[in-house]
Amino acid sequence: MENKKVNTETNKEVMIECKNLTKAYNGFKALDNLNLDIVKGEIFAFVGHNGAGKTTTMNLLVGLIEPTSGDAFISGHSIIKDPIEVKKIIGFLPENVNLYSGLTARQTVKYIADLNGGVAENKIDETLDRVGLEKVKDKRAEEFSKGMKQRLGIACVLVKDPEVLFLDEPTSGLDPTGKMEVQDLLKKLGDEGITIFYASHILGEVEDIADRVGILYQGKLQKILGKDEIEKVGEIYKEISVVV
Amino acid sequence: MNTTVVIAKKEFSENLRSTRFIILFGLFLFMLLLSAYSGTQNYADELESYNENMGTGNTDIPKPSILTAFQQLLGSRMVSSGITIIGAIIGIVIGFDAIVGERESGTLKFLLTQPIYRDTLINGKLLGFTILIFTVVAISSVMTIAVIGGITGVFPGGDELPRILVFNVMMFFYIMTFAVIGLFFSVFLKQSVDALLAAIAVFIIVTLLISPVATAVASFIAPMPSQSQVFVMRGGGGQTMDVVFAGGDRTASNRTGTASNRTGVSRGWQGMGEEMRAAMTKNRNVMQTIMYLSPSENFEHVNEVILDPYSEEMGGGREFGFGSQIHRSLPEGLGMVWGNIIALLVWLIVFFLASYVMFLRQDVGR
Repeated sequence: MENKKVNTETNKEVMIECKNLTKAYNGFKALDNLNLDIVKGEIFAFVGHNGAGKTTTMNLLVGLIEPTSGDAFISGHSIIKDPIEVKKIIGFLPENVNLYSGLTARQTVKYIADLNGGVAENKIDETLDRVGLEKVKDKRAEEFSKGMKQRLGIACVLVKDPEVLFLDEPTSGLDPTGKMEVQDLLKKLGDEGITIFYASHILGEVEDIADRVGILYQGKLQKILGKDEIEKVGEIYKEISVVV
Repeated sequence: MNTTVVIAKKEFSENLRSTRFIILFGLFLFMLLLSAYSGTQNYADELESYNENMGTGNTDIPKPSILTAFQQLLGSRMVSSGITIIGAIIGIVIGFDAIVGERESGTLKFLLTQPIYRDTLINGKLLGFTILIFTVVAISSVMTIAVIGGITGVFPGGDELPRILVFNVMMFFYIMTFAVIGLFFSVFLKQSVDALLAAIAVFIIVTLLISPVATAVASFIAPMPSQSQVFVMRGGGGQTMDVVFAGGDRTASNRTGTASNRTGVSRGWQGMGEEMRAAMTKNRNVMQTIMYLSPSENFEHVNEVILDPYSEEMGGGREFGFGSQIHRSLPEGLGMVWGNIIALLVWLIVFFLASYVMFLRQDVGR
């Protein structure tokens, strides 16, 4: 059941709402009591070292795993009660995804579009154009560089016109050029008003893109930095790790 | 389009384009057509023998059927036939990385965040396998019939066509069984190479090792009198037929034996002492019960009986059982092998259900 919420400070619709979200594995809390609101059109970056709980959070929000306690809502839909409704409005790009090497870029995007009920043929071409792969749409993904593969993944995510985009370490393993390409694309998507929730362990790269940054440490959200504090993310992260 | 069909379509087209599938399918077709060619030689020999007998006034012998040529597809019975081995490998190759491959490449998470249920994904995979294997069997069947018909000038008709259809249906289920065994390990294990090795291990156990195991267990549970271990039976028409009773190794010198030596084998069996026959029957029953665990054995046995309307089981032992001159109808043949058909289907169903349940419960987030 849809239960949309509006943030009173910004007067914007809350697209992601976490309420005491917790995930434990055999007593170990991979994510501990997360409470968070992300509004429409916001780019929110989650930073933390490997194992801090970023991927767990992402997996919970996209419905891959169920929380031990608490709940989260995506555009008002509960991840526990309405996982299929949630999946209709989100796009998720996992870390290091290697899309079907035997399929062409166009076939891959069409496959994902068909799983979402199908789209017009020209929409597939438009989406590939949006991520800069229009010229190579008939080439197999196995011929692509890592950066191109990542852009193909983003095309698959975008073809369904998601309201919220979840990206797990989207620049992981990319060379500097590939990184720049993906970062530029994310900025462009942010400008288009898509809500983006993105996880990274590279503190430096969130400065240019994010509107807010959440610092996750040992499964707990330690601090949320606003636009004016983001450039100090490195220092603040260091302080938190010493204190904790 | 229904999402199960979308997944099946992608599974089908991706497999069809994969080099490993093309190579295996090519090898499968090559072996099948080679066996078909060899089968046409057998058919020609039997036809010649029949004509000679007719010339000498011996009219008891039934006219050879074109099924003789198809029987050759099952190999010599000294070893598992090419289609049994390569068919199983094709199945394994189709199934082994269905899920683990998606997991390794990260696409499993990607797929499961689309608005589909988990069972849609596994059902789609199974439907994809079904269409692909149906295509393999259909192409193989048409080409085999064309080769045999082209060489001999005789195309199957009447009672023969439904028998060939049953043979193809069994081939379909046989390949599907191994595809689903591959799928099971693909869900169960974390790396595709492990899934491939596990599925091949199962194939080796149920195809190559089960026979000596069955023999050993049967000898332990139901030992036979020592003189019956190896014996020689003199067949009718002056032919000598050696039947090595080292259970399960399926040695028979002439699986597609002519009617004259069939009669001889029957006489040999009937001539044995009661005690020996009882011991052999018991031993055979134990062995056959164990052999039900082998999809390959079930597949081959069903087809032997279906493609050879004159084959006969004796004393519970089918290995040296071509003793009849009575033509058995297809329903009668199916009645003889229903246990094997069910045993084959049980493998398919059990492994699919296990894969299904395990996949639905699996934590894909870690």
